Amino acid sequence: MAAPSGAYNLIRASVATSTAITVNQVLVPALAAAEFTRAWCNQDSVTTTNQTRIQLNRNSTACTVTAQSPAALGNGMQASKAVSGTSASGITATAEGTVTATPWSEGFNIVNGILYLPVPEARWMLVGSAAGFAALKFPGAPAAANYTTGMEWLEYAG
Amino acid sequence: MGEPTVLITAAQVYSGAGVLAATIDQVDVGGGSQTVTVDGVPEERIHPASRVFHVRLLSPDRFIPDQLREAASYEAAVDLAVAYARKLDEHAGRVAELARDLEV
Repeated sequence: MAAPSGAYNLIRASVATSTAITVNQVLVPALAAAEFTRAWCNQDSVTTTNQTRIQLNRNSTACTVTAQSPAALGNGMQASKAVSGTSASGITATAEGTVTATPWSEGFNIVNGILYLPVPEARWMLVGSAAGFAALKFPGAPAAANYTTGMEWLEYAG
Repeated sequence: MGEPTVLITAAQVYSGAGVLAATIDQVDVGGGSQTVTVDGVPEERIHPASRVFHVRLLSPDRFIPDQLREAASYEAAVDLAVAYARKLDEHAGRVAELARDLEV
């Protein structure tokens, strides 16, 4: 197994959300591949029980997002190739991209939140390309709350 | 029936020293759907689609992230990438000069 060049995450922290949008987008470029190790969704503003759903998508077109750079999980890691941009890595889509596959989709109670933590054999590997978009999306409008969502991945880049 | 057409969707730009300086890729944006609730009824809305060119300016230092710029046309993307490649060459020249000056 090839050694990853680093581990990174992209976190959208405590943002008021009540519409069906893509909340996190990562563009894995042709220079790299990404193995998604974790994704999560929870909130910190309401205690009222409510069910909603979140999903990981493979998109063939970009969502228009607010640019946000991935963060390295350690100090000694090279910069992520999944750089920020309004049609690259970022948060809070204002225009949705075209979904081609949904490797993970799950309902949960917003009081508890949800964690995608696949066993290593089942991690989603995204080989980079100009259209290598990984996206975390609320497919339906969630109950209004301050949601924290994140994606974490191992990157394989030269 | 017209003539066949060639559409350039990707390119690589090298510096004068032969180092890969930038990549250019056409990227489709939008065109996806969003479910919105209007008067309690779910409604599927399709978002507008567009195209941009991603110009990835490759960082000479792997600890500094690449820069990603958007260009509206292939020509504008090439201009940006070539300007960056020229800057890389200038920078390499200055570094070489500094190294020579530091020799004792």
